[in-house]
Order: sequence, then structure tokens, then C-alpha cells
Amino acid sequence: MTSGVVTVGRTANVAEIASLLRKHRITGVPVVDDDRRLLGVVTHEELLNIFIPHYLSMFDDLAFLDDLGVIEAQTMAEIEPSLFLAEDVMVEDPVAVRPETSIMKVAALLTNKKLVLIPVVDDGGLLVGVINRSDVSCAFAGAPPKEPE
Amino acid sequence: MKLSSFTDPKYIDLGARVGDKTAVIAAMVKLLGRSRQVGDADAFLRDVLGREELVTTGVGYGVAFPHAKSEAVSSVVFAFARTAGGIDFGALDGKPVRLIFLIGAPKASEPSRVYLNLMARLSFLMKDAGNRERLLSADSVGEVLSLLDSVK
Repeated sequence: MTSGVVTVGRTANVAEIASLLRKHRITGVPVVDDDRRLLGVVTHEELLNIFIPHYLSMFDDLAFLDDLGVIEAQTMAEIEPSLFLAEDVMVEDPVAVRPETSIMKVAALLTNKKLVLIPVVDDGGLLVGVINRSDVSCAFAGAPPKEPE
Repeated sequence: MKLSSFTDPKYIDLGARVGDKTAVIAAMVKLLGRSRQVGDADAFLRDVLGREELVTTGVGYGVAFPHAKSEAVSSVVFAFARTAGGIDFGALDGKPVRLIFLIGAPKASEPSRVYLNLMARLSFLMKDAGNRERLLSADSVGEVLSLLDSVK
């Protein structure tokens, strides 16, 4: 588990969140309230969901996208970032675990549910850390996890 | 994505005469309260005003996008209002707002991509001064819908 986690409040906008993800080279952030109560999670996927047309999820083969993409790229490339807050884009009630949860169960949750991180909360629902895929693979491989910058 | 498929001529008001931000949002919620997508207009209004309290959706250049995910909404829908006079939305640039899109979406663990795509498309369209001018000068609801669907 990584403690001292990078978090955002529900009013952080997508530009601010994207900058944090890039700065800290992380895949997502928990969204917390002023008491550090877990509200949700925003990952790169939630940011991409703004831009990727919803109907493309219906197709496995995106070979046609080079043609279609011209129109969509023009219309979706420039949004108003202040309009999209963590509140708007986050996954609410995300999968979370307790500090005592076994690493095997965490690994199973990450892979089965295709998650990139799992918040760790205490009995009161307050955030105490996150576990990401790197933490788990390092734990299995015997290497120490990397602390965020 | 055809924007007009998420609204209806009945949810478009080109001559809104309301005094302030809360009043115009309430009037637009009332319009959407007639739709099959909004089951409880009062609950939806509370959710929209709650979102507005976090950070204004008055993005600037005279445009606002009040919106909310709400348990009162069954599928993505929007209303549009053009006000006769400018309204103080607490916009980011401090300028009064005349073009308002009210967007509702179902409340779910994972926000609807349709909802996010719709807001992205509308906000993109309204960044263009020419598009804003066309909405400000539109004479009919049909003209508004055509504009929203024709602009690439």
C-alpha cells in the first residue's frame, strides 16, 4: 500500500487532475472530502470517457476509426475543462479494501474488475492509502513499491 | 452524435424572462419536468443547484451549462434557454449569461459516457463565437436544433 497518497477534492477540474496524474506519474487519484472520506476515484479512463464517443464502445474492430476520427477529433479536442469536475467524472462508491485485506484478494480485485488502483479505507471510510497494480506485482516479486513523488 | 436526439422542441425556450440564476434553472427544470426522462423535477432541481454550488457552470462568454447526475433522471436529456437579458451566473469571466444548456443524467456509480460526451460537444460548440452568435439570433426552435446538429 502507498500512504501519503495524492488526492483531489470533488471540485478539482479535469485539467487539474490530468496535471496531477502526469506530475506524479500515477494512473489515478482518490476523490475525498475535507475529512478524507472516500467519495470516488478518477483515473485516466474517466478522463478519456469525456472525449471518446460512447458508441465506439460497441465495436471491437476500430479499423474504420481513421475515417470517423477526423470529425470527432475536431469536435471533441477542445472542451471547457472548468465544466468537468471530479464530482462529474469520478466513479462513485469505488471498490475499496481495508488495510488488513490480503494481497491475494487485492490482486484478484485488480484483475477481475480491471481496476488500476484500489483505495484503502479504515473502519470509518477514511482514506489511508491506495494499492495499485505496481504495488501488488512488486509485493509478489519481492521488490519494494515506489513511493509517489 | 446527433445532439437534437437528447432534447425536444418543448424543452427549448428562446425568450426566457427570468430574474436570476436560480430562477432560470428552476424554469428550465420545469420544462424538463414534462419529459419522460425526469421523474421528480424538485429532486432534479436540488441536484442541479447542489452542483452549481460546488463551482459555477457559467464557463464564460455568456454561456452556462448547469447540470447534474440525478436519481430523478432516467436517461440523458437537455434543455436550452436564451434569455432576453444577461443573467449573473457568477461566471468565470464575470460576464452575464444569455445562453444556457441544462443537462441531466442518471445517477450511477460510473458516470454515463453519453452525458460526458454531450457536455463536451456542447461546450466545444459554444466556444466558437460564430455558433454563439447564431444561437443568439436564431428565430425559431427549429433553427436552433438545425444549428446544433449541423455544426461539425
